[in-house]
Amino acid sequence: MPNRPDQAGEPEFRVEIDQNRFLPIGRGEVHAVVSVTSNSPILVGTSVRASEVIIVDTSGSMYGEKLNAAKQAARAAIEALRDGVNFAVVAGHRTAQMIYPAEDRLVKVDARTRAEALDAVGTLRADGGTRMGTWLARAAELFTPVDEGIKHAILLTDGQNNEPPEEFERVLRRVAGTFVCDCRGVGTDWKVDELRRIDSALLGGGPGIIADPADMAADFRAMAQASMGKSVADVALRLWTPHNAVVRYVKQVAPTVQDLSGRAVERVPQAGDYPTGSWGTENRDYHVCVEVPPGDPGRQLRAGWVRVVIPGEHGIDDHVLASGNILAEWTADEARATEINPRVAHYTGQVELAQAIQDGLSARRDGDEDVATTRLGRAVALAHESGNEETAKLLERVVDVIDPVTGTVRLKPTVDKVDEMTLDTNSTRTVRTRPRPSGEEPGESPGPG
Amino acid sequence: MTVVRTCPVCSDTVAAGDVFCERCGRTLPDDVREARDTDAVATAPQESLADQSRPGLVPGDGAPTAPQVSLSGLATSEEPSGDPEWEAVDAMATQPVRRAQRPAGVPAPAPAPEGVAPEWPPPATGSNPVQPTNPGLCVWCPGTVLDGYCEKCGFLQPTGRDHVEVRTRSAVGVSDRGLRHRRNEDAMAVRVVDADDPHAPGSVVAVVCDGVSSSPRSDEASRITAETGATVLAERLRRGEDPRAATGAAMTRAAEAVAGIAESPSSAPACTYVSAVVDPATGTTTIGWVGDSRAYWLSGAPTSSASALLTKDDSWSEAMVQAGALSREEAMRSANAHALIAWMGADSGEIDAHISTVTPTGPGAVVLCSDGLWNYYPEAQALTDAVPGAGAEPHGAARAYVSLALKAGGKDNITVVVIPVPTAQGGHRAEQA
Repeated sequence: MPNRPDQAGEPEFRVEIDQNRFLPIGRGEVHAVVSVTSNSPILVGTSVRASEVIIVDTSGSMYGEKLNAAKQAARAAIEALRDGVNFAVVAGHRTAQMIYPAEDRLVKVDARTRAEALDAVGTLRADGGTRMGTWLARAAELFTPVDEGIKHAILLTDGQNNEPPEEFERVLRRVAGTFVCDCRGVGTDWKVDELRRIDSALLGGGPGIIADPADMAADFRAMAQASMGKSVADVALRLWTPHNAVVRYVKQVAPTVQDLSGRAVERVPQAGDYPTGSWGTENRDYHVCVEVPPGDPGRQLRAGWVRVVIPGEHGIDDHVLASGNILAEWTADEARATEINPRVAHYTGQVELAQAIQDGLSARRDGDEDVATTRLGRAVALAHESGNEETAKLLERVVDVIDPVTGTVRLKPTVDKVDEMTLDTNSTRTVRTRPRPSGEEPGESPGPG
Repeated sequence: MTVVRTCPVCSDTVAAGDVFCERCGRTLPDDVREARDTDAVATAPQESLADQSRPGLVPGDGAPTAPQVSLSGLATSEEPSGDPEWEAVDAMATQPVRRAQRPAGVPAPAPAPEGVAPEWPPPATGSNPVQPTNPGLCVWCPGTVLDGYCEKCGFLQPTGRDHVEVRTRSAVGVSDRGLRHRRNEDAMAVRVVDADDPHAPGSVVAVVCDGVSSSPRSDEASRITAETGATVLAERLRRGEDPRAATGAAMTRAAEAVAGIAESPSSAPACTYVSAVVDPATGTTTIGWVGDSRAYWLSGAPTSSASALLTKDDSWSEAMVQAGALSREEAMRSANAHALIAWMGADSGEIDAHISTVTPTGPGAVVLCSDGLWNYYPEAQALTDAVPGAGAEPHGAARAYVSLALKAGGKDNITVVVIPVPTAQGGHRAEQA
């Protein structure tokens, strides 16, 4: 569904491209970091067009402290919603039960509905299983009548999904891209992979772990506030490539790693639209790799044309918010052609770091200590090299670091489950590097003279 | 006879019906894809292709070259054909065109389809630069241009004369800045006399000029000289003038034109000049030149006349070789190798223009080029081998030559005009500017 923000509420987008456009003769692999920055005004009153569904896991395992904390958290989120936002609260167990309102619909936030919702949250009871696919399907139904604006869900769980995996996947495929969902796991009995799957399908900001239930309220309030800060939904990154070029991959690399390669939709010829969800005032970086047919020395090619668009219906009325060029130029100058752009190198490292952590932890769970040691060692070296101190600290709770430069580590004999899951969950969070100030590219400025 | 299709990008040979080049993966332009085996000139059956049957083209050393038109004071003899020396040269250089009958039992090949010409509007017609006339069209593919880049192939479009292509049915020219020079000081012009013109119908006229880099405004010099030369040459042919007389007259007028833009003799724009007139029916080719831009005959089949250089450079190295003072290798190693001893410009003094006529046995191609290309392929056979089948696919060939020169270093501006022999009939369909 297209989203047409008011002219006054129009966000400003900026695209910056970092790359070494020079390629050796006979080669055609072009890498670039595409930085997208949006600056959106805070919308108030009637211009607010946002919908929020809060899904709280109320399966049997939530009983006690966790449920109480979840109630506090849900209330904090409701309080953070601005007047005029459409919202609902859903309890998730073996079905998706409407807590507020009682009917299957969204209601507008005002003083009365807010008070009623806060009361209704008090009725939450812990009982039953965990069927996240069913909960997400209900959220999608609630969002269906809403034809524009931000659609955001918060999903809280504490356990593993009880649904057959194929059913879970089927729902994810169906609802993918229809709304944005941020997931939180509380405790240590949930599975990072499951929340990561939801996050990826629904373009969340990366799953999060809430180790201490007492932190839940603050976290929910922050998520709801962040959602209120979003002003434009269904933004796509449109990547045009030359005839005969192949898009190797498109990955979001900051603030989290999210592989979008398989998500392209061709709305206009020779271009793929990659969904990016909704935007407030923020920065996101993408690593784009395009393979183009090699060209003659001295020739300059637009290897990729990146546009930030709000797609219109049927490929018409597309609203282009910003654009940038990924270039290729062939040269016999080896030194120039083989130089790797520092930001491309940085994010290549960050993506490898995320993968090394996930591989290492997976091998550790499977009892393959050699692979676990090698991969986590590599992760330590990458985190050290890129100055990713947060990840380096998390790694130190899982391995004893002997030499961070070479990545020589020993697995710790006992690891706190929370530490392992925190490392796993945060593995996709990257450290952002700043784009170079514009106009500082060495050599003459690209583009037609 | 088989049309050799080559990829315009990597010059690899491609098969009939291919849409993409197998080597570089580039989409093949429709004119390459749709090129059909044609048999405009049937050749003798294979068994008769013994070497001794191969027709000669340029007998003996230096035969076609002789001083001809004096440009001193721009007063020119326009009756060169009366010169007995020239008659002799022509007699030696001219070969009859053989038109062997198709052997019995061999089916006639399918006629060339109407759509041999590109289905999209060519980026340029006549000899106007691509960019100014069609800023909206890509010079490399059928795409349109948006923000300076082609929306299909993505290439940054040349501005002004950086990369110019001229496409007619009878001749194709490509001129490129190269990789070292800041601007393109080469120029070319192509004209085709209408097929229904009473005189010289379908005759192809091409001129290539290379601005002398040590002179001021040499880009302007080459453009004015090439345009004047081609225009005058075509006009004289239309009026029924003999190609040799027309070639001489055109050179005189071109020399006047370039001399005319000089502010003073000490600041005189200057350039080289080479022209060709190709008769579509007989393949008879008249070349005129001053300086070191060259004309070649490229053999297109074993039955054709052997490949040959049709010009002799007005350069210091060539003079040393002719005088017997230095071997060709020694001369080319000298720092003076490329120093011109004749050019067109207000400061040129009395110079000798050269005219020669040959009638090659086709199929093949007449190629005019600046030293940006021939520096890398000085020998006629090497030039022929570099892009096989140039005459069959002139557009791909002209681009392939430029591409080869760029790959070899692109040290100078590169200009190539390819005129297939036999020429494509029907000059009226070759859209002119």
